[in-house]
Amino acid sequence: MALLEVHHLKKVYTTRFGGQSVVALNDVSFSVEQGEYVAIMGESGSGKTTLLNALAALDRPTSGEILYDKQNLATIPSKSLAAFRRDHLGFVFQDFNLLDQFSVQDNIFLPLVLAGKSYDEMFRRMKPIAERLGIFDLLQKYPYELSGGQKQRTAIARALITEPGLLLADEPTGALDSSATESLLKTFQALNEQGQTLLMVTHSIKAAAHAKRVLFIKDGIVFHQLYKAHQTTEAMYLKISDALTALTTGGDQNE
Amino acid sequence: MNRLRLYSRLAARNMVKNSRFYFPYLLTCIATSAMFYIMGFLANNPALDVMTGGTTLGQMLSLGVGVIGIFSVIFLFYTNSFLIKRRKQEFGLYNLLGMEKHHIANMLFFETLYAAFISISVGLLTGILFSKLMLLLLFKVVGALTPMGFYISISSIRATITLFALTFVAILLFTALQIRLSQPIALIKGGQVGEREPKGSRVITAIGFLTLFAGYILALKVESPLDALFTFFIAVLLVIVGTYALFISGSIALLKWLRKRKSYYYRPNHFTAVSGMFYRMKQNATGLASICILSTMVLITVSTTFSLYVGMEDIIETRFPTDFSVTLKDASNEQINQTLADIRNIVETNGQTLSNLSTYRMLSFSVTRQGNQLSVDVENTASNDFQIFYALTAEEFNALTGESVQLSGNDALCFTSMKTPFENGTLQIGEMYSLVGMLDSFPVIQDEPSLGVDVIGLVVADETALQALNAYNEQAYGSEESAIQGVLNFDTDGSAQDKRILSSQITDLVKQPVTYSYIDGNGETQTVTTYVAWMSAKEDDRMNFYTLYGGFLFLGIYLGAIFLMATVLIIYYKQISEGFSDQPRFEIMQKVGMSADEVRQSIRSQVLIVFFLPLAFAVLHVAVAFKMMSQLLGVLNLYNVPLYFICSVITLLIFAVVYTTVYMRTARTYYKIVSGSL
Repeated sequence: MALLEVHHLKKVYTTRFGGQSVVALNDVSFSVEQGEYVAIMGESGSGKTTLLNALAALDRPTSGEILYDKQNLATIPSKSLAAFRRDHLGFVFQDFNLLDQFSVQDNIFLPLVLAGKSYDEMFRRMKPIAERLGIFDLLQKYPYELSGGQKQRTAIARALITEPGLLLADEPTGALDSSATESLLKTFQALNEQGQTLLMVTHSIKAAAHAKRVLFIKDGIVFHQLYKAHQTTEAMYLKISDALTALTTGGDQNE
Repeated sequence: MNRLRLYSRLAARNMVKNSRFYFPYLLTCIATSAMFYIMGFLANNPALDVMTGGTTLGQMLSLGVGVIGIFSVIFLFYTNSFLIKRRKQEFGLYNLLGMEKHHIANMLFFETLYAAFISISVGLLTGILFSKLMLLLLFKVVGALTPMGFYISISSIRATITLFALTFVAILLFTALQIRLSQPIALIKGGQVGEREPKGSRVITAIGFLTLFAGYILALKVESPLDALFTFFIAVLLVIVGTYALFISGSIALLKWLRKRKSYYYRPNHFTAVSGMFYRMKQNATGLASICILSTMVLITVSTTFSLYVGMEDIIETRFPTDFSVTLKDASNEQINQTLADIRNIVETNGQTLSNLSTYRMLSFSVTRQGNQLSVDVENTASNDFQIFYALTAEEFNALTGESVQLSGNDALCFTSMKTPFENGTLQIGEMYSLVGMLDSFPVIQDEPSLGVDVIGLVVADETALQALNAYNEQAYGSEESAIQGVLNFDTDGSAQDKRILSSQITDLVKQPVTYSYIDGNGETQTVTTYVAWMSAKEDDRMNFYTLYGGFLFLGIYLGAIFLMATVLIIYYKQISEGFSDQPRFEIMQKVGMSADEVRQSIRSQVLIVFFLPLAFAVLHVAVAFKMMSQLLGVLNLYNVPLYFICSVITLLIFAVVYTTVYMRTARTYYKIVSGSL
């Protein structure tokens, strides 16, 4: 069953005085099945972030539609959008986006507090997640006391605590060193094995090689896609690398 | 040459681009320089020279010029520091892009030049434009005839230009020095240095509570005006210390406590508000405490001057029970009657009638009480430990009160405002008097008890006894100066103008100078001229009162307005600069599922607290100070407590309205910044 369907998505940015317009997404269509782990790759400026913002309903597309669990995002009234994001989507960002006035625990609680849950319920939900991510001992610390990897794990815990149908990750390894990257990708993989649907936007081949499927975006369209199937991550790495080379040297789709 | 053009154009563009910060700053500079000019214009106005009491008023206003001058300098420095803090990132970027620090300084030179030019020229123009209006207001308030013509004070223009030009030079040097001393990376990071959990010290919180309560209790325990005079400064100091300690440390302690209460803290609106307030209080506690103190001062100054002005008629009634009061030194009954006949003659010649007449002879000097003994302590006249002694003969007492007291020998009736009684019913002052009765009131006493000065009054048998007391005083002072006074109090009908004419004629009649010589300690002969009689007329003093209290009121409101402007601007800047650092936070919250409405509400509650916390505390301070301030007003003869209450409430309301207007404007701008639409 398709959890997320994207049909002919188009996003055009117009400059303030309506003079020039920039096409960020031209005609993007794809779907994500329940339990999938999808990576979207592309060079900077290829429209990755625009796509993610549209998927998160943070930005309205110019045309086309996005269906989440058969519900068209465009039909959700703007008043309920925040609640929709809170209930169905989890976010992990490149720069973590933790709030420095909150402790680790409160950062994780944030979406649940906004949803009006009681402390006991929040704690009950948070405990297994924090333990699995290895941040249970850090709960009372503040973001400025954490390493990059610890911050990102806190952000993942915050994304998971609402038990989202879809976890969206925007360059999650972008600000991490290689060992923290490795551990984050293992975490994602483990989450996926437990049934969590993941959609990750990245330009790191290493990160994308962990995904089950990789989509390549170029010039605002889905240019190419690769399935991992039963290959090893190393083999996938090479395939992605080749695909990217082909992409940048201007090879065409039928290659 | 070309380069200069580049800098000047860069400077102009910077000012336009940063107009959100520059505009309020320039407005402040313009307003302060205009107000400085106007105050200087008023203080040196030639119209004051021809006005009764104009010199005093001029001196008072000159004091105002000084206060505004000092305040302007501090205030401009302060607002400029906000501006620079916000722009550090910009400077850092210029620096990284290859602009050297002295290039930035050159650019800043032009910015300051423009700012100075705009502020001083527009400020002076505004000042000149409004100066006549202010002059009219001042003259209206002090009840003087309005002067004609338009006048521009060159000396005040010169003073304004000098003060503000120097201030701008100092600001430029200070900013340039700051940039010189800083590293480009530090500049770029500017606002976003590590956010640490603030620490609220329990000791400081406790000190804050203690000092605040001590100050409050002192203020509430004040019983007399003299008490109020002594405790006023201590109480004010304690409250200031307490306010700062509580704002800085107490606020954090309170927030920590709230955070521990999980069922309260983990609610959607409390969650963001409490944690947001942590950082707000950490950065703003000192500023908010200053705003609180400043607001309290404005409220108290304006409400007291306001009620003094409104209650002036009361004060005059208390000070002058009758229209005229003539006092004759060392007068016999015959002299009193003669003077009365002369006065009656003058009044009638002017076609008016004399009424409410009372005449009496009394004796009055200051004494020091020890047990049952009163003595004249010539050595120690400067000490606080003294009482005022009054004496009347039984005959005078009966005439004034309508009673029929008969006394003989050294028998006496006694009145005292002191709490310790005279034991054994005796009182020694020179001779020993046996007190055959105590009185609840004494007719000739004026306002001493309300000032906290104790009074002892004695009704003695006859003229012989009165002369004996006088002899004791003369002997103690070793002079021939009699302490016996003849007093004539009376009203007349007729207009204020008639009374003024009468006043000068009666003064001519009674105020005969007497010259006498004595040999001083060096063996030289000294000649002294004194008057054996003096007169006070309500009408003459009314004008002095109007000049004095009207001047107070004008100055109070004028300075109050400036302080209010400062308060408002400081808060505005604080909120704006916070908006920029809060923007990423609210962006994140929206991403994790906070709706725009929730963001707006959270912002509203936080800005509301930051805004109204100082005001709430200021109102509390004013309320607690109320008793003490009404006692202090008693020193100035204002006993009308309800009037002071109404004046306080009116002042408070006006202040709150201005404050709220600014709040609404600020909250809107803040929201725009945070929601990223700027």
